[in-house]
Amino acid sequence: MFIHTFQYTLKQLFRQKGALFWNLLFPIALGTMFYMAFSGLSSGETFHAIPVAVVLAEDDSATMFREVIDSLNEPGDDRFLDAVYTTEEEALSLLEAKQITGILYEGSSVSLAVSAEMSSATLEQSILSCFVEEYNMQYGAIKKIAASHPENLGAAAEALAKNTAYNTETTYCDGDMDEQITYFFNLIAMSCLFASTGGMQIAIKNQANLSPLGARRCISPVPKEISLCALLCATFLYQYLCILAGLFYMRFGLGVNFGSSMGYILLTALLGCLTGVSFGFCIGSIGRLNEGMKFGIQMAVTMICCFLSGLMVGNMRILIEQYCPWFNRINPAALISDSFYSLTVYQSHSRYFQNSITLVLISAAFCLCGFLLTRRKKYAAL
Amino acid sequence: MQLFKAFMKVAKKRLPSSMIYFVIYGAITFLMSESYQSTMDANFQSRSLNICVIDEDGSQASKSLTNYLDSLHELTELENDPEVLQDYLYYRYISYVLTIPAGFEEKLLEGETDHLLLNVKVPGSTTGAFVDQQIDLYLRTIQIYLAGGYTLEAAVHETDSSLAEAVPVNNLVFETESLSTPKSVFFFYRYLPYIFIVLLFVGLAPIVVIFNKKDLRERTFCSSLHLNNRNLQLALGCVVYALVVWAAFLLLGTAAYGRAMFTANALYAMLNSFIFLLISAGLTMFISIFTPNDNVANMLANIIGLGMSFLCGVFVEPSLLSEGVLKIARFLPAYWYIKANDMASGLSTQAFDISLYWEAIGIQLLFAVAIFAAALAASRIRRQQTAS
Repeated sequence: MFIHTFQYTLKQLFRQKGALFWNLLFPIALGTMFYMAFSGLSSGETFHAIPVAVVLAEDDSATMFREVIDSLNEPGDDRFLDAVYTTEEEALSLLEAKQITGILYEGSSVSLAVSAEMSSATLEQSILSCFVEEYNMQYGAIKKIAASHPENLGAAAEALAKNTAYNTETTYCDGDMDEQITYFFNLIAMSCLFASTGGMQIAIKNQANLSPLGARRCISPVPKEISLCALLCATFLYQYLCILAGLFYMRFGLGVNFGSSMGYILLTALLGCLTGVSFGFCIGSIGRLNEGMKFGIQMAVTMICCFLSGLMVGNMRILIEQYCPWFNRINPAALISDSFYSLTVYQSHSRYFQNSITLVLISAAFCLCGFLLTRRKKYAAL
Repeated sequence: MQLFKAFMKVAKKRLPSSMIYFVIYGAITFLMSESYQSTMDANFQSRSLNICVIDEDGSQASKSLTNYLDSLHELTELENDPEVLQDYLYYRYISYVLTIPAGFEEKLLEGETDHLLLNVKVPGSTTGAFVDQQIDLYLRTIQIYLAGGYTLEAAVHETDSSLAEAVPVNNLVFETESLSTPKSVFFFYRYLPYIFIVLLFVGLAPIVVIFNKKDLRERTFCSSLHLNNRNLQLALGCVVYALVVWAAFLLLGTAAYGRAMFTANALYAMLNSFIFLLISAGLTMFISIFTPNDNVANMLANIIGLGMSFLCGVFVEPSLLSEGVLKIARFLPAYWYIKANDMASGLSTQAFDISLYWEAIGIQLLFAVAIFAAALAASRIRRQQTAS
């Protein structure tokens, strides 16, 4: 009887063309949009020459400052400033129109003016301010040394001009540091949790008070646990195949890096899907709420989980890690996306397995709950 | 108004599930605007980043370097475990990890300038370069003083005092209006396109779907009610539902931000959100014609809501998006919404210009009209299909 129910449920699911279309379209359409939105996004993090206006004072020191500006203004990969020399008036109007980040004034010391309304460029403003500080401090240091230790002026000037590499950059791992791919991980996590709709349908179609099919099933002689198992397995397989289509599209069509080991990637999607279906089954089995309410609860939980794992705001996961780390250990969306993350970033798989085992435990708990809630349900009247 | 009344009755019946969505998405709105601020809340001079310093030297020089960084940034205490640090860096919670190896002070005194420190940052990031620049400034100034014959203590003292004497940056204010309103108000408005689309799709669409169900639809079509009249009543129902959602969100906003919701620039943002609300209501009507059930409405809500939000710069700043994406985004209403909102808030890379604001509002209105018209046309086509 198991095989019979399994087979026919699967046939039924695949023959619902409309639902199949949406299940397939969902990850593919969103994946494509994410891909489009993120193309070229990481360049926003990389450094670009800062546009500034320079207002020079009419004295000798201006030439030295001008030399410094010109050397930083030279076109090339490591260009620091994109400077124009203007009058103060013109500089102010450029700043008001937000075409430059700041105005550098040459005087007894260099000073900087920025616009308070350019909150999108605070980092650039700070970099400029640091540059101004650097110039003033080092120029000031040379002046002080010239006054107090004139004999060491040569050595000090040498120290000023010397090329230094105080700070060596290292990394913790060779993995990808591109944060944007976590949006794709979370998208897969969301698709997995959306599989809960399938799980919920099982529960609803088994409840005599919610659907005619449920009423029919309640009076059939097939033991409920067998028919439920077959339904769960078929729905799970169906949802898994839909998610795989989306996953393959993102991996091979869009080239999203999910890590190198295909087996683990497939396993994560499988466990994610299992969690989704069993979650829906559990919610669907609770009490005698109507379908709309159950659907509402299920979607609310799914979206909250996805939101907290960083579907909309990428670094949400680490904020949660900071303030309530236990939630990241039980949030299925976070576990799924973290599994992909650990596959792309880490060599060792210990964290991956920890996530996977938690997903298995969560699924088992949901399934058990669902079975306990649906068993021995009797209806005196409908 | 029979149909409109029936619409309201259905809406009332579905109130509990609508409330679930409202509570959840209301919470998400606030969480999002708070989290966005924590990364944006930085008035100029103290653009402070979260950084982590691991001092293995424990010398006077390493301590003064740490103090210097502490005065500029937020030093985050984290476990010295590569995996933990990597996670925090990856999710951009911290921008920089500096390790001061043992023997740092000795090397500094000897005049060595290479490989004194180790750092980990997001490769090529501006934030990383910024911290590099500050560390370089500090160490080089100390070394200039050392070379000039100062002792380490005196060099550190001179460097610190010249830092304290630094010429303050002149922060110019051109428009006082946008600054008088706390930014949080605009972050609240920023996420409303996504929230409206999702809330209306999952809350309102299922109601409209009921009226578009085959039996009910055909029953209405064969009644004396004219198709236009039916559609207008449905549209009215949608707009009323949407208005209730809008009012509820404005109340939430007022409860959270008080009077700041009613400054001139915040009112610009409010009008902007109203126009987008109409677009969302129109979209809901449109998709309800083709949507078979709640689940599909929910998927569409996320495809359209999330997709448009990412493409138009709701979740990521538009200035970070590539030119190509922005060119496509122009054809989507949320792009104009964000443009108007950012201009009103002063967060935009563009200065506030009232004519540009009205342009963005006008374009959104056109979108709203076009979408409602498309919904009515689709409904007519559907009717013709039914008739044939």
